[in-house]
Amino acid sequence: MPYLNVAEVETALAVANTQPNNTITQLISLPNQTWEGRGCHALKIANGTGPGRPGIYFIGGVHAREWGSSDILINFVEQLLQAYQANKGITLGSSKFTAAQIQSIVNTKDIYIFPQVNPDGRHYSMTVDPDWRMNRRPAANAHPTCLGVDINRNYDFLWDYPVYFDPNAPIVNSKDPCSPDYTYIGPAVFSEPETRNVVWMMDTFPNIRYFIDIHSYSEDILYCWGDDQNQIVNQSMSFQNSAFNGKRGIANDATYREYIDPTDQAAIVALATQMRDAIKGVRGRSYTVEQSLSLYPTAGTSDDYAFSRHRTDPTKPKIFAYTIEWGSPSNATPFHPRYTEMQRIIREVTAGLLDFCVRAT
Amino acid sequence: MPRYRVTIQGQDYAAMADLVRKHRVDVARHTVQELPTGGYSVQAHLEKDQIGVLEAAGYTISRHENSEKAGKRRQSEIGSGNRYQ
Repeated sequence: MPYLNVAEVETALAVANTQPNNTITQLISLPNQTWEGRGCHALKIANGTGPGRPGIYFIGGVHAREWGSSDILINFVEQLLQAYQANKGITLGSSKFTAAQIQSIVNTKDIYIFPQVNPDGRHYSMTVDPDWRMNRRPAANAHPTCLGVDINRNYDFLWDYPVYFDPNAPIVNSKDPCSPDYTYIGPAVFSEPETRNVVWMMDTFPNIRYFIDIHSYSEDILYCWGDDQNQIVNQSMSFQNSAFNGKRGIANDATYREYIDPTDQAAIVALATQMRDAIKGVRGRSYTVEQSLSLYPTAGTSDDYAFSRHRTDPTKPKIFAYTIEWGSPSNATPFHPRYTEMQRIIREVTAGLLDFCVRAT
Repeated sequence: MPRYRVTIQGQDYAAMADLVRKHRVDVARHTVQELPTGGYSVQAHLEKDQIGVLEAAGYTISRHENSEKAGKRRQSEIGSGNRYQ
């Protein structure tokens, strides 16, 4: 069984939306074609309508070389639909989900899956340059050999990072289209069709309360924020306060730390910890739950954008947002390990996602 | 240009920050570890000529696989055709 190619991911979604599933699924056409003219789709899984149903939104295939993220989400779709239709549970190692839990997920929650955000980049990585990370935005005249934007630096969260960060911050973002670390943020916030597609889902389905962006690698479950260390005391010390411009992004200093509501942080960490335990139950791999900031801060990422929306626009719902980094650094070619290993990773992350769907309310 | 997955060791925070600030290294940022012997390590992907530059700057580099070659081999583990049709 090999990795799903780009066409197969799209076809898998279309097949998932056929009988008998199509009474509980909706194939969603995303509004923006990619730079190479590809159309993208997401799938909604829900039996029922009405207020009070929380939306849970998973995306994958953002970074081109992290091939298996799309496979994880297609497997998740197939497992969930098969179990629901058969009124059966799912067992993945010692992580078990009862038939009642599976029914409850589909009957009481809206699950949105967008498994292949960056098909152009993924296709290029799968057929030409396996280390390719970005999308395939054509090169500008000023830099004729430098293509692509890092989609996960193109969101509206401190996007214009030189304004907001300490000049000495080791931020993993770049304004240079030719940057050798492949983190070009793009010519404008939301400049990329792939980014706009991800955001369109949040705007179009305002019941989305939870968001997970699936990446590789390092076996981590990351929660907000990524720009600086969290603090729970000073609400005015936040990304919205221009008084702190030029001071963000230095780990372990007291000059700036990003505010997070302590109740939110506790709930976010609790969900992540339960997801970690479900992952571990499959074959014993212990993912680390930690804040997205490491030694290296970021700006313009999907998770920070998703979690910041309710702060920048109080009419928008609060979205608890995460990034999963699947796969061990011990694997050779860890962005795309041997498929035999990828199949084990698919099972463990699927367990984590199912557990998340059970517990997110 | 050959490209390698590597582990980079630096002696302190400033050295690790410089990997990004100065050398624009493609780091796997959540693999960063503080070492019991002092200093830090992080995995990264480097082109061959970057390795020499970093070694000259005082970093210790351990090479893993040639990610370009190994990745090309891994492309043989991608589906051909369409298994869903």
